[in-house]
Amino acid sequence: MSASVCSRRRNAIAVETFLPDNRREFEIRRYPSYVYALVPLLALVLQAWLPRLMGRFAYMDLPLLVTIYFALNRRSPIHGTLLGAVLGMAQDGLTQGAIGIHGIANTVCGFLSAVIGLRVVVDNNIIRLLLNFVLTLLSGAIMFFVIHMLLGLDWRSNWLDEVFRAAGNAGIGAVVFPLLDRTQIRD
Amino acid sequence: MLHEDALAGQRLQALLKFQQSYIYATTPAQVIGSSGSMQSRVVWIDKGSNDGLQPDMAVITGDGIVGKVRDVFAHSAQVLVINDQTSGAGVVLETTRIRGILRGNAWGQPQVVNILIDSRIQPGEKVLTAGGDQIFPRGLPVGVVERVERDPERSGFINVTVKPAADLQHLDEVLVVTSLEPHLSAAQMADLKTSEDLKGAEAAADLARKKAAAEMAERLPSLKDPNAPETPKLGPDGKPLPATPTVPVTPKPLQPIHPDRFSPGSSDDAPAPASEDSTDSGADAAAPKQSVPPKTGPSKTPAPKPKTDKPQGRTP
Repeated sequence: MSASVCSRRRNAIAVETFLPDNRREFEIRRYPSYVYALVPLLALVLQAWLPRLMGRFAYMDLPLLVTIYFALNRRSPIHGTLLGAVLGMAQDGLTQGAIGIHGIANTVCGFLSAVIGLRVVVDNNIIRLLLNFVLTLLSGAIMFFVIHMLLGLDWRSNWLDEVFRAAGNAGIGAVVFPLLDRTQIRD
Repeated sequence: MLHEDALAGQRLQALLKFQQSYIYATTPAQVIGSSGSMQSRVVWIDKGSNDGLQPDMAVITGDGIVGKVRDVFAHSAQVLVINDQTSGAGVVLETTRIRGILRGNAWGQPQVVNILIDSRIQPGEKVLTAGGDQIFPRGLPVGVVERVERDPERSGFINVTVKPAADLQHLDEVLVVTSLEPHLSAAQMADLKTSEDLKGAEAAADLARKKAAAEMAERLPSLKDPNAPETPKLGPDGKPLPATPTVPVTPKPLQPIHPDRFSPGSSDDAPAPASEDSTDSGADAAAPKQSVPPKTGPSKTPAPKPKTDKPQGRTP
């Protein structure tokens, strides 16, 4: 009897780890205003500057990473969508392609991140790592769809670069997300 | 920090040396950023329209070409690098003189495309700018052929992957070609003036020789210059006579030895030779056509040969 009760308790704890059950985990994480302004800006600047130092090993997408983080923690699909759209279009301004390629991809990823944040507890670093990897791959697939199908441009992609970019984003997220957690406004 | 400054100083010195020896006007610029995306290979430089930059200006380094200016703002400009998929530059191979278009592939490597498969291109061959795109001056180094492979999408064509001469992954300082008018240094201008003076001296010597020859011709009128043009004949009124048009003589065709119905001058009815007796052929024209075999023997009696005092050959 006691063994079955123990196993049931263990299963409940495992489920509670991933599913929000209590009121505290439904809270929307809040950040100071300067964090909302500076972190996306810093992400754009670093995204433009770091490839000069890293050369062909610059496998990262910092604006997407920031979109995913704030969408997960704000738990608002509207907020995640708008943030993805703004950061994505700002990222498009740095390129010579059409405005909206990164915008569309980041908008979808921001929305999905917020929806996932409503359903799943994402304080676990492993879940964050997996989420970053999958959403970066999804972002690459959406950009390929937009360029190839919607714009009709003859553009060839390198799938290995996309995998490396997803892995790089996941690794950077594992380091940056805990740092950004420290800037939360605690009650 | 000091080491970085020293390296930057060396690079700038090399760039300055190249700029001074280059004949076209250039503006140095520093690369301040990139696109941050692997789908778009552009860099940003710290010079803009206030510094005289305009779209479609070539961007180069001392080692080779980098790209062209795409968008220009007041204090910065966007440069499309040659390894981008949407770029394009007219290039020519140094040895084989095969022309093609250089653009980047998905892996960020510049490739020369639209080359036929029967072109004999070897790795190691230098690639230069052709100058036909009106953006890059002719003769600038682009890179070296790295490998040649078949185009997977189009049979009959090959793609030539080029290792760029300029280090496109580590761009720090570049030169923007602001004018395609030759801009010569003082030493180069002096050399040009010397060569023009020499040419002038040669021309003057040639003129003096011609003058002396004309004077000689005047003093010795009997001497005919075979190279001189023919002087036109003058009529009684002193005006040059019109040249009589010479009618080209039409050679007469030889008379056939065995004429048949196909011989020129023969009629279709009778295989009569092209003879002066045209009445016979006119009478036969009304008769129905019959296939008459051509006469083998000569139908026309040959004209009697003039008698010659020729001893007849004795038969043994």
